[in-house]
Amino acid sequence: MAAMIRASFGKGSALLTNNAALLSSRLQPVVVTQLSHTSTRSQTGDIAYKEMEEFWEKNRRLNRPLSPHLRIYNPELTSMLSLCHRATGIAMAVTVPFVAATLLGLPGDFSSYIEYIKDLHLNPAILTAAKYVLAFPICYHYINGIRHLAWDWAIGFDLKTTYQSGYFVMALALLVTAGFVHLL
Amino acid sequence: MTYKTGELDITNKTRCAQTSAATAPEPARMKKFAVYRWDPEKPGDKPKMQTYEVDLNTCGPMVLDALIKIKNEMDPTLTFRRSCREGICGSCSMNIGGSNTLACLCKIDDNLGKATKIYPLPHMYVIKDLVPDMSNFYAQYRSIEPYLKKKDGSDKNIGDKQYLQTTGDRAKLDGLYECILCACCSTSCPSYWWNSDKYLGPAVLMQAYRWMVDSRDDYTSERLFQMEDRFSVYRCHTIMNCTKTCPKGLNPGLAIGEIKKMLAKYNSKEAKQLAQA
Repeated sequence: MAAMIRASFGKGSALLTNNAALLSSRLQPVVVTQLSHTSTRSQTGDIAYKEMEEFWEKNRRLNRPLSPHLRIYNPELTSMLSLCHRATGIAMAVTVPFVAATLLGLPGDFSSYIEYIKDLHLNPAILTAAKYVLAFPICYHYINGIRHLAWDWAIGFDLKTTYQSGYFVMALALLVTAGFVHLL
Repeated sequence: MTYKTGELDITNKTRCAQTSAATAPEPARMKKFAVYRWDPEKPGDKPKMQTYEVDLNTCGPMVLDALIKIKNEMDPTLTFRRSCREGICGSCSMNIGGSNTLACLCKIDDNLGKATKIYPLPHMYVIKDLVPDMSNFYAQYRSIEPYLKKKDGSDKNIGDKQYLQTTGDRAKLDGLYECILCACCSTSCPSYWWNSDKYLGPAVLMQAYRWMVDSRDDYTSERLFQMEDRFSVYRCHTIMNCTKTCPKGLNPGLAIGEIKKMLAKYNSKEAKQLAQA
């Protein structure tokens, strides 16, 4: 038990992420008591954690349905921009190392592949679209990243500012992307 | 003409004048409500949507009025929580038209061409129809110990003296104490959907912050230390669905941001020693 508690403070954190994945497939969550600071928990905390365990056990046993979430919830600016931030982040984290590693392995240098693409004589609209797709993630993620940094200092959290900054970030990201594509 | 005590002949005459001047009955304005239904007592029942038509001319303006009308006149088996009907108890929280609000505060959309969709709070185990199991939410609230904790130890003198607080310190609680624990914010958070066992959620975290920032409470460091793990606070990725959906206009996202700031600044080693003492 003590080992599990020690593991929960960072080093053995794979245990926790695995369990999070298990939970999302609605299997029995095991980790509730692992997170609690059992050495410092009060009686209230003990009752609370016991109630949580009983909740999961009871609902699994009764096989109750889970109310719909993703398919019914309104797409809000807040959640859509956050999703975009995550998607662009993952896209870049995957493609940049992959492309770099591939180019490292393949013969010839970077400019020979640009020549190859030029020789394909693709429709310029396709090339422009591809440039937009490549430029947008970095622009959007960078500019929204500044918004996130402001939030880390608890600046700009009220709803009106959140919405205004959200629209501004999206507009600026599209503008800068267009600038990169057409001016560079 | 016989009169009852207190009646005037004038009222009869004016009443007749009024009814003869009244227009023909207004055409019924039928609004469709598509409501999530599931009955645990029907073996093998699957959750489904059931549509009801309500005449808005004979119904109150809020979605809760429509639900009560449906239950009274059309389908008594429709099950939902409700109490105060004025937006202060938090019982009737549900997902209406894609957003979490209180049914008693949500005006019915007058557009007769569209059905209003009503679901229970998202990603919660359903007890029946629109009633979710809130026990986990309440247990999480209990786990943050939402009461005043003083360090002077003795229980003998509780209530003898008022705990004094400056107006500035009291102002810090504005926007925090008004929470009615309706769970609209927590159940609007995708992070809470995926991690409702370990992530506390915006409602509970805002209340944790309410006690951390209360000048009368002596256990701020210990309360912060309780949050020192990967999941209790740090599953918040500032999605900000919580603030958008709060039917009371509160800002849980801000409270969580402030907790994160406090966690960065407080002395965690000292808190650990205090907590384990």
